[in-house]
Amino acid sequence: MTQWARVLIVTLLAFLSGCERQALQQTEPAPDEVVVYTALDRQFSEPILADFTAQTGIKVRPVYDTESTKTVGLVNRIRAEADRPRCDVFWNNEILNTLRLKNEGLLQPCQPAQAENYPTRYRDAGGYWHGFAARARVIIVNTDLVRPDEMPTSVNDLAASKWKSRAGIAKPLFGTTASHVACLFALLGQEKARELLHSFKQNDVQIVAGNKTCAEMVAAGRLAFGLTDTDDAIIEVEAGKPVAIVFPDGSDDQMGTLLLPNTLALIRNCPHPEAGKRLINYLLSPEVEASLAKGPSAQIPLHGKTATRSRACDLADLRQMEVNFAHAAEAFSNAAKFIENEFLTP
Amino acid sequence: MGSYHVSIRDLSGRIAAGLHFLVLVAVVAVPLYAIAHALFALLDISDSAQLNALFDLRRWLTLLTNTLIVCGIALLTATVLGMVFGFLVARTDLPGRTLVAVAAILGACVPVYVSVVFIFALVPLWQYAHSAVACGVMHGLICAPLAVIVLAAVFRCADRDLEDQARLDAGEGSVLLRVMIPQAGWGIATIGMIVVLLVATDHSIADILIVRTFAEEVYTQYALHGSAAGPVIASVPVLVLLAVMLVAMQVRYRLLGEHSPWHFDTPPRTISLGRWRWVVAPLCLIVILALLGPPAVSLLRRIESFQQFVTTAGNLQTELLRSALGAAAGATIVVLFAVGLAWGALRTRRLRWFVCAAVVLLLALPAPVAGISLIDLLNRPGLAGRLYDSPVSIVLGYVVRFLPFGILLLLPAVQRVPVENELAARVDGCNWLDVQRHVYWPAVATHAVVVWLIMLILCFGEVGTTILLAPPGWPTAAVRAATLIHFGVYRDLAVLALLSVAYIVVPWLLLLWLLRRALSVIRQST
Repeated sequence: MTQWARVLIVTLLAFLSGCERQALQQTEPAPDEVVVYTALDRQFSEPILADFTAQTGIKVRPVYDTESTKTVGLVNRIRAEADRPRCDVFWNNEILNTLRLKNEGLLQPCQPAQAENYPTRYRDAGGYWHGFAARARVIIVNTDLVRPDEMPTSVNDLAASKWKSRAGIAKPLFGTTASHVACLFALLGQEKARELLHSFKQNDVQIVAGNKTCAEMVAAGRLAFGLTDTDDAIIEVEAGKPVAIVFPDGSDDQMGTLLLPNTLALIRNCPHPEAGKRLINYLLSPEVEASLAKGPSAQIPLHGKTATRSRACDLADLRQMEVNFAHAAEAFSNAAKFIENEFLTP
Repeated sequence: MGSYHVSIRDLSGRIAAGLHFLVLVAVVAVPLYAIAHALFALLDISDSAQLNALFDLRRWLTLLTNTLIVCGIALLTATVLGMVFGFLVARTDLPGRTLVAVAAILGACVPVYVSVVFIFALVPLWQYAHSAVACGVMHGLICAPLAVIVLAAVFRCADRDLEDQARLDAGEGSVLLRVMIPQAGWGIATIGMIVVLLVATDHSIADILIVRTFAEEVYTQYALHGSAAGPVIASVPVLVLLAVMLVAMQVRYRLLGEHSPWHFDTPPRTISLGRWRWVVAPLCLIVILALLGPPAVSLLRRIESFQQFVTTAGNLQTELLRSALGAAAGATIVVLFAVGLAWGALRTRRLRWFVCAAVVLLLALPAPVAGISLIDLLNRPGLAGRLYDSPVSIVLGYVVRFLPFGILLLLPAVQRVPVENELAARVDGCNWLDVQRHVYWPAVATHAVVVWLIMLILCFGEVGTTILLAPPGWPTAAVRAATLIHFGVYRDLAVLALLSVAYIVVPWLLLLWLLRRALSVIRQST
C-alpha cells in the first residue's frame, strides 16, 4: 500500500506542478487571449466564441454559468474579483445585472464600431454596456386548454380569477423573470407594480423552477399558460406541442412586450482590454446576431443591418415596452425586497 | 478520554506537525473570514427593511420547517433501507448478498448530480414541484446506498458473546430488537448525522423542486442582495444543528473516546433465513432493479444511438479528465492531512477541541460562501493570485469543503490503533513523523484508501464552490451537468451522467481488486 501512496503523491505533485506552470504562464496576461464570463447557454455561445478565435487568432477562455444560479454566480464572482479582475468581457444573457455592475463602478466604457448600428434604447450612451440579440417575454398558451376566444393578451391576465392556479411564472428572483419584475417597477411605478404582483400571488400563480420548466408545463397541459422567454417557448412550438406564443400587451393602450437583450460589457481594469474590445465588436456584428436568430434559441436581432429574422417574431411587428433599463436597475432593490416579502414569506 | 500531552521536540516532527496545524488554520481561515465579512456587511446595512427581512421570523419558520421535513424524510428513507439491506447483507445467509453489497457500493459511488439526472430521467421536473416530502424521499434514496454500507459494517461489529447470551435467555426473536439494534445505535446515529449533513447542505434537488431550505436560501440571498451577510446568516441554523448533533453523539456514544466501537475481530453469527431466504432474495432483487433499472434504461434511451454516444463522449472527455485529475488531487491532500488531524482530535488535549470546532465550522460552510471567501482571500498579487489563476484554486476549494469529512471518516481507523503502540514507538526513539509513518499509516492504510475514494466521489461531484473558482477554460464535469440539468435530460447530460459513473466506478473496481490481492496475501502470511 505504501507503493500506492507513493504513486498517489507523485500523481498529485505532477498535477500541482502542471497547475503551477499554467499559473506562471498566466501571470503576465497573454496579448492573444481574452477571458469571457458568459451567462448565455454554453451550447449557443461556444460555437460563436470558436468562430471568433478562428477569425482573429485570439484564444477565448470562457467561464459558463449554471442555470440554477443564472448570472448571479458570475455577477458575484465579478464583484469578488473587483480588486484584481480576471474577466475581460461579461456576456450577460439579460440586462439588469449588467446595469447593477455598472452602477457599482465595475465596468469600463468602450465604443466598438458596430455599436452605432443598434437602437439607442439597447446601448449605454457612455459605452458601458451594449445590448444585442434579444429575447421577448411572452405568454405561452396551451391551445388544448385555452380556446382562441379566451387567449390571454396581457401580463395582467395572470391575475384573472378565471385562471386561478392555472398560470405560471419562473422564480422571480433569477434571470429574465427578475429583470421583468424590475422593469415593471420602473415602468408602472412601485405602487402599481406591487399591486400587479400581489394579484398574481392572490390568484395562486404557480412559481416554477425556471422559464424552461414553465414552457414545458404549459406544453404538457399542467398549466393553461405561463410567462416565459421566446427561446424556451419556441422549442415547444417547434417540437409540435399544442402551444401558441402570445406577445403580451401589444395594443396601443397597453404597456408593450418586454424585450431583454443580451448585454456585453468590458470589465474595469481587465487584463486584456484590447482583445476584449475586439471580442465585443465581433459579438455585435450582424453575423453573430444572425447565427443566434437561426439557432435553437431564435433570438431577435436588434442590429439595423441584420437581414435574418427570428423565427419567434419580427421586430418590426412588435410593440416594444418603453422601459428605461437604468431606472429598472435602480428599481431592482425595491423590487427584490418586495419579492422577498411577497413570494418568499408565507 | 485517553488523551495525553504530546511534546514534539525533534525538528522534523515539529515541521510535520506544524504543517498539519498550518493546513487546518489555513482552511479554518475561510469560514472565519466569511463570518467576519458577514458581520461587517451586516453592520453596513442601514436599511431597516432589509434587516427585518433578513431576520423575518415567518420566513425562518418556513425554511426551518422545510429543512426539517426534507432532512427527516431523507433520514427515515435512508435509515430504513440501510437497516433492512445492511442487516440482510451483513448478518444473514441471503443468496446473492454480495450482489446487494456491490450494488450498494456502486450506488454510493454515484455523485449527487448523476443521481439527480437518473431520477429526473424518469420523473418530469415539475411533477413534485414544491414538495418537501418528494425532495426528502429523493435525498433519502440517494443516501440509501451509503446507509446500507455503513450499517452493514455496523451490524458486523456486534458483540457475539452478548448476542449468544441473549439468544439463550430470550430466544432468537428477541436478539434483533433487544441486542442488535440497540448495539448498532451509535452506527445508526452516525449515518443519521451524515445523511442530515449531506441533505441540509445540498441545494441541487431543493432548487429544482423549488423547496425553500436553508441550503437553497444561501443562493437566494446572493441573488437578492449580493451581500455577504444574508448567505452566512442563512447557514447559522445548520451550524447549530451540526454542533448539537456532534455534542449529543459525543455525550451519548463517546465516539472520541479511547475505545472504538468499530471492531471486526470476532464476526457475529450468521442468521439463517431458512425458507424465507427464497422469498427475501427475489424481493431484494426487485427493489434493486426498481431503483436502478428504470432510470438507467430511461437514460440509455435518451442517447438514441451508439454513434451519438461516442461523438458526445468524445466532446466531454476533456472535462471528465480534468475533473478526475482535480478530484484525485483534492482527495489525496485531504487524506494526507486528515490522518494527522484525526490523530490530533483523538490523542491530544490541546488540538482536540480546535479540530472539532474546525470540523463543525467547515461542515456548516455553504459551498458558495466558501467560493466567494476563497476568491477574496486568494485573488491578490503574488503567490496567492497565481494559485487563484490556476486549477489549484479548485483543489483548494475541495480541501476546504471536504477536509472535515476526511477527518470524521478517518477518526474510527485512527481510534483503532492502540495508544500503547504509539507509546512503545516513542520509547524506541520515534519522532512524531516516524510515529505517523510507522504506527498509524500502516494501520489505517486500507481505510485511508477507501476514504480517498469517497473523497474522490465528493470532489468529482462538487459544484457550488467549483463554479466560482474554476479558472477560465477549465470547466468541470459536475458544473457542466449542473448547467445542462435545467434544460431536462437530453443526450449530452445522459452521456455525461453515464460516463461520470464510469469514471468513479473504475477506481472502485480497481480498489476491490487490489484489496482482494492484499487480503489474500495477509491470509497466506498468517
